[in-house]
Amino acid sequence: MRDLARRYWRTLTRPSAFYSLGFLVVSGFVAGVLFWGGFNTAMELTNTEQFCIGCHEMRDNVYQEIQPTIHFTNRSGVRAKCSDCHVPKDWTHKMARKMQASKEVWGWIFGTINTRDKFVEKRLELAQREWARFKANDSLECRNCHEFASMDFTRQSKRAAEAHATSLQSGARTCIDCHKGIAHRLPDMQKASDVK
Amino acid sequence: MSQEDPKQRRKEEFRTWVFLTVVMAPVLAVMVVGGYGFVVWMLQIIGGPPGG
Repeated sequence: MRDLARRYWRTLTRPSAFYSLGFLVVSGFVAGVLFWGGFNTAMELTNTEQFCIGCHEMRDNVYQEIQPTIHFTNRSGVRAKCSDCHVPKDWTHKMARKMQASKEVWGWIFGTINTRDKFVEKRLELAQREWARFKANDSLECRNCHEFASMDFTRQSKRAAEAHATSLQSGARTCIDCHKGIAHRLPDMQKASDVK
Repeated sequence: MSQEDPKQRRKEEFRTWVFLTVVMAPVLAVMVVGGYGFVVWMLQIIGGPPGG
C-alpha cells in the first residue's frame, strides 16, 4: 500500500514519459471548460422552480400561497419564480446562498417544517430573516425588475404615489418596509418583534 | 532508482491523468467554491446581511 502510494506520488511529480505536454495542457483546458459548463448548469438547475417545489415543504406552503398573487398570476403573464426574489444574482452572494441551502437540507432531513402546523409556527422567523435581508440590500431583488426611475406616479394610487415620492425617493424607506406579505401570506404579526 | 516496466509506467501515468482530470480537479474546485461561499455565509452571520 505504501509502495503503491509512493509509486503514484512519483508519477504525479515527475514529467510524463508517455503523454506530451501539449496533450496534457489541452486536455486539462478542455476538462476545465466542461467542468465550468457543468457547474453553471447545475447552478441553474438549483435555481429552477421545479427544483424548489421538489420538496413538499415548498410546494404545499409558499408555492400555493404565491399562485393567486400578482407575482404569479397577472394579465401579461410576466411572473417571478422563487430564485428571482430569494437567490442573489451576484456571484459571491449566490454561492453563499447556495451554501446556506445546506441548512435547508438539514431541515428537510430532520423535518423541521414538514407539516403545515410546524411551518406556520416557524414562518415568522423565516420571514423575518428574508425581510432583514431585503432591508439590508435596499430591496435589491425587488429592484431587479421594479425600477424607481420608470415608475409613473400618475398611474399609481394617490397614497402610493405619495409614499413613493417621499419615503422611497429619499431612501428613508425601502420596498420591503411597506410591501411585506405580498407574495406569500403574512406570519402572525402579533408576535413580530422587529417590525419597523 | 531501479529499472521499471514501461508498460507499468504508462498505465500509472494514464490512471494518474484520469484521476486528476475527472476526480481531483473538479472536487477541489467545488470545495474551494463551496468553502468560499461558506466563509461568506459565516461573515454574514457576524456582520448581518449584505448591503446592496
